[in-house]
Amino acid sequence: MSSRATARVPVNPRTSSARAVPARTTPRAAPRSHPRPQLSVVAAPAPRARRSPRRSLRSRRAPFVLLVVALLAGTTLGLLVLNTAIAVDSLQASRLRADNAQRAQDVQRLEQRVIDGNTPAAIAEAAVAAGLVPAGAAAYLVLDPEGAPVLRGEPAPAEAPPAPPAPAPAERPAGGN
Amino acid sequence: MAGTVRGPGGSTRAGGRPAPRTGPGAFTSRRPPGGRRSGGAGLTLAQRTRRNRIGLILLVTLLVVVIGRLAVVQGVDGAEYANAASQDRLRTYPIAAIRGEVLDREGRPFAYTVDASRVTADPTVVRDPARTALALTTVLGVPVSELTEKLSAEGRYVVLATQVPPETAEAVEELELPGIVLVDDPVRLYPSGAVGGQVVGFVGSEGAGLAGIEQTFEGVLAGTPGTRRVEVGSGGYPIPSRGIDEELPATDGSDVTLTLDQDLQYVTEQRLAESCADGATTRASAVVLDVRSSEVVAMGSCPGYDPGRYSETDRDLLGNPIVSSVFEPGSVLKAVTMAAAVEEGVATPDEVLSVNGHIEAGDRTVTDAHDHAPVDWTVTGILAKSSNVGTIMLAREVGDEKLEQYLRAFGVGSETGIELPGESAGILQDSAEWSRIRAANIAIGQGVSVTTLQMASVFQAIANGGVRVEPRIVRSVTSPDGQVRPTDEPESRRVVSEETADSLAYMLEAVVGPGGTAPLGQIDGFRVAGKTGTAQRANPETGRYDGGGYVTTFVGFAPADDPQYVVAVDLERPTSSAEGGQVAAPVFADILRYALTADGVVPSGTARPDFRLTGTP
Repeated sequence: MSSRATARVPVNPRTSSARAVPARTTPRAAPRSHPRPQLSVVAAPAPRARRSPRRSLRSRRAPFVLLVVALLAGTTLGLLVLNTAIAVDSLQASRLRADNAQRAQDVQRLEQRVIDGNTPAAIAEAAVAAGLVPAGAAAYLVLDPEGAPVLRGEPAPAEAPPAPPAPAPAERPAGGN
Repeated sequence: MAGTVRGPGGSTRAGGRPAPRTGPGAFTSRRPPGGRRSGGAGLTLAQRTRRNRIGLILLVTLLVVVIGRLAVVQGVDGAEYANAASQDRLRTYPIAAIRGEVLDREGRPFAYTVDASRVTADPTVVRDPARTALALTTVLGVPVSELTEKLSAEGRYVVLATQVPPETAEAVEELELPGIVLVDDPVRLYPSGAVGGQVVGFVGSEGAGLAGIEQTFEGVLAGTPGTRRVEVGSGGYPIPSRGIDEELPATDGSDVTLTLDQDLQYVTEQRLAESCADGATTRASAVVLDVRSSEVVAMGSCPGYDPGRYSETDRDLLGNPIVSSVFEPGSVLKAVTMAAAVEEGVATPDEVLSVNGHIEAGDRTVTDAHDHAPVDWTVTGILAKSSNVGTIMLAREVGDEKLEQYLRAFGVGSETGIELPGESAGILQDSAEWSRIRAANIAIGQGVSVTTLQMASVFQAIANGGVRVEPRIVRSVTSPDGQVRPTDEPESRRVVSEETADSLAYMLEAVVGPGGTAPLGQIDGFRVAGKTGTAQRANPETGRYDGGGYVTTFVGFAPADDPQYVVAVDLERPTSSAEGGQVAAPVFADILRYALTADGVVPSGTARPDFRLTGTP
């Protein structure tokens, strides 16, 4: 910078213009019809005078640039966050949907087990396994008009099972109750 | 901007602003205004105008052609092209309607449907049949060779596996194989197996009901299938989110609730199976009716079949003999003759008749089960002893035409109208065509054919105070939105007066009592009324009675003083001459005992009346 500054023609009044456009220093640019001016060495102008406009310019631009950068960064981050959120949500949604389908299948399977376990054949089998026997004719105690209990039907113990199955101790898992 | 590098001569500028021009010498190469680089510089004005015009015309023509074509493509043929394009991308899949359930009276399912899938493939899209087959073989459990063959087949549709459970379908989906498509293929399950199988029927491989309730209620159970149109990408996959995915949802089928009780049905079939296992019985059928409503509470026959395995069953067994096979009921039908005699005032239960051991009928003689010298029996005694001769004597007093009227009123010779396919009306000839022997035979239940259900229906009328209600087996239809639509009330008609019905109940009770033909039909604690039957069975090979054996029947109801259930049992025993009182009555008693006990029917506690079976005229 400083080397550039020394090459400038100090007499040019535009030097101090706000735009800081340097004047041409080539001899070609000088009008030829005039005699060459007498040149003399003058003291270099204080650097402060030329730098301060740039400085102020940059310091005035800085907030704008920062603002833009901040906006850009903000939107980028915002988009990123939003996208991530959406992705997370959709991931969760599809996982929940899959869970839901899984649950529906579980429900169907369990319902099937209930239905299968509720058939007369299954109940009869379970009853036999539990040592139950089919009941015979039932007898009823009915109150007559005077309020005295009357026995209707003939109570009889149900027939004993033909042959109780031999106990199978090893059939149940240990610790199960 | 400030950092722009300068050349050593410093001839460039800093910043974006052009340097002020200092003289014409700076850009000497500028061409004169109006000058062109092209070779047209030498043309005259007229030539130039013509050239412009030609150019313009050319351009306009081109534009017109392009616009015209655009209009044709977009406007005229547009729809067609769009259609063709979407046809290429769109696949239509059916959405199967879930078939309605068949339930018993308490809502326990006899038949229901679960989700499952059919794995199909489009061989033109499948990339590597061998690898695809290898991937699918363990999941589907189908041999590789079979899969490879199918996947390399001609055409665009092959079925690789049917009725695949949802877990397997998911596993197939996860493989993401190109050209493999899953389609709904619900499975029909019959959890109770053979219990109620003949009533419920089954669904064929095409998904249509082919027997039983599944057949008669096909339109109600089936529902309306929907369709799903999806846009598919390359590889035949549906495009997940943005593609066309239109659904015309399926309307599920309605549930059909039967009047059957699954427990009683089970007990009935179990008891019949026991009979079928006795070595002499080839077929056993039973039906239980609710006396008041005439609802069928149980209806079974052995050998039966499991609707879930209908394809492995002998085709001859895939019917419902209770409504479709007819037999000669024998003495059971004497109840109708008696009803006619009592209603017509020909006889009263205690009237005494002198009954011979045999009676002339045309050119033949009808005898009692065992010929005997003339005995003085009451009308009750005639029924209790099941005397053919006594019954024929009473029938002659009633007259053929009247007897036929009563038989028809009790439902003999016409369909009951039950909601089951293949019902037989039985056979009852017009009384005008009855020969003398035929008239005598019909009075005792020979020469006339009925189904087990018709038999039960006759006794339902007697038990219900003389009002016959047509039997029904479907209680209600429940649509998918939960609306319950009860079936129409069955037709009910009085066939005999209440007094006649009561007299008959009294007479029928004597059958089970001491001196009757069926003491084995008794149930402890309850008063039972019923009638045995032992009819000669026509030999199916010859069409004659010789060698046909017997059909033994027992039909009755209980409690006799307040009837709740009617049970009809018939056993086909081609090799045995055992009588209904010995073989059919115990089956009847066991089924009826369970029905009464399970229903909590309290015995009235009244004693059985003392019957007068014999007397002096």
